[in-house]
Amino acid sequence: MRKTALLVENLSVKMGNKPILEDVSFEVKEGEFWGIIGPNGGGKTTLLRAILGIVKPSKGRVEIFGNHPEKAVAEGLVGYLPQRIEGMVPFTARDFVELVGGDGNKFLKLVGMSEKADTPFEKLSGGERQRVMFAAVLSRKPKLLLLDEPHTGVDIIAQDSFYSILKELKEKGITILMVSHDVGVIVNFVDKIACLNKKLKYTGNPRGALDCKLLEELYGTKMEVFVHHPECEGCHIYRRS
Amino acid sequence: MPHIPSFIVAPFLCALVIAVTLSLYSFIVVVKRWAFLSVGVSHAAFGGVALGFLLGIPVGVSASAFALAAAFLMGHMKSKGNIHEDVATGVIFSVFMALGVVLFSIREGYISDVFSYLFGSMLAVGWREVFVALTLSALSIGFLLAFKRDIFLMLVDPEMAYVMGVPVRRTYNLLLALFTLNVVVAIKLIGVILVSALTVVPASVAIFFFSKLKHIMLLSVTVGVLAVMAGMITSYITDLPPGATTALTAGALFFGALLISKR
Ligand SMILES: Nc1ncnc2c1ncn2[C@@H]1O[C@H](COP(=O)(O)OP(=O)(O)OP(=O)(O)O)[C@@H](O)[C@H]1O
Ligand SMILES: [Mg+2]
Repeated sequence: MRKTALLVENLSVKMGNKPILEDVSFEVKEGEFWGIIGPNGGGKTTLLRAILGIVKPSKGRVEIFGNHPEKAVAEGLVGYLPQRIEGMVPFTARDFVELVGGDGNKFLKLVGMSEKADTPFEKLSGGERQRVMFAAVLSRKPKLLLLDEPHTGVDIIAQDSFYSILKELKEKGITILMVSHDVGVIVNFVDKIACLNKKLKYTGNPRGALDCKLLEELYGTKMEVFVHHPECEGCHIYRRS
Repeated sequence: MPHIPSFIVAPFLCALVIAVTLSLYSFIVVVKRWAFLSVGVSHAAFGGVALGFLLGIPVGVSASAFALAAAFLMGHMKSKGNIHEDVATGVIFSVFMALGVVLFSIREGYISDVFSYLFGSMLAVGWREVFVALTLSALSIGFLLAFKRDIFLMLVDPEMAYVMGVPVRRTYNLLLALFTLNVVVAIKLIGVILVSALTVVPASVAIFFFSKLKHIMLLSVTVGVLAVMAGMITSYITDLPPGATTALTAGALFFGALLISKR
């Protein structure tokens, strides 16, 4: 039996009186790669923040390798790539990675950003910033990796190399949870998929989430709307051609 | 070599110490977008200055208390009350400053003191002030050096910093407190109105030219020291308040640097 990397049990989160997550439960085994999909405002980012202990649940609990989230974070078990960052960063990409404590050259090379190592982070494009942040996160060698839409704005080539990095990490036994809107792509990579819209609408085999739909139609069309599971009303995936 | 009167040695030394420390913290002000907060903190201290005069307690103590109270109200309203930092700052600093005006009006005859606290005064600074500035400066720079990683990661993104093992709340509070105290220490020399020139200009200028962290910090300090020293010398020669001359030299450096860097 493989170890449980992440256990989420009856998790509910409220903001004020507004329920954001309701009774979410799932279990991720060590070395698994999960994709989390769902509509805007469906609570995906909130789920990651609750797993990390940044937002306190109103009900339920989270365990990371058997630890309370804060303990797991303090022990450096978890890596988190946020959807966007708050501050202004006028210093270089290399400074960024080295501040975190990693080898700037090594990890920027890994994400294909060696050439931009001396560019101020602020002057990088959205996709390039994501890659630098990813390098910083990887330099901490986390065992559980939470990624919030890591390839918004990352081009196809970068996306390919991004997935090959994830594949390598997975082979090393790293557990990965990735929020994405790119359902057509992630189903080819992940072991399990979770569809979230306040409640957990579907978990399991990624193909299962797409059964009734035609994946091919996701590509090449201008704008397609898909409901990828019969019980998952409102859980649309948009893809621009 | 011209004769240097001994009474200006202390103010010049104090100015140098303040310039170095505030220039280093100026990077944090720029990145964390604390420019308005730093204006708010110094103005709020004015309420404390007035209270100190009225009650006959050391002005530095009451000014620090007011400034710290204001800084923590401004810095935490966002997380507690969901009120944005700039809105909180706008409200709090006007209230604290107004309090100072009311307190000063209760007792008349302080006009020259009021003026010197608003725009700074070289004569207000003696060896005691130098000692306080040096001690605080050592603490503040020591904190920056010892907790460099924690501080910069927190500036980039508090949530990401937390996940990277940074004690975010403690780091933020210490940084806010040390910054506030440094602003208060600068008030006697520079005055409450104009101290923000020193908290904003140095790093802004450095960022025009450099992107390596080390270089940004070095140029920041150079700019801050240049601005303050030129301001002090001008003030000494012309008898204008040092706050005004320093803010003008800092402004000149800022616009000069802007022109050169855009060419
Ligand atoms: N700090 C907050 N205060 C109040 N409401 C919040 C807060 N953060 C999130 N919410 C609400 O929680 C809901 C879920 O937000 P969340 O960011 O988790 O969605 P998401 O699935 O990540 O969306 P997206 O695809 O746009 O990233 C939204 O309706 C949002 O308005
Ligand atoms: Mg989100």
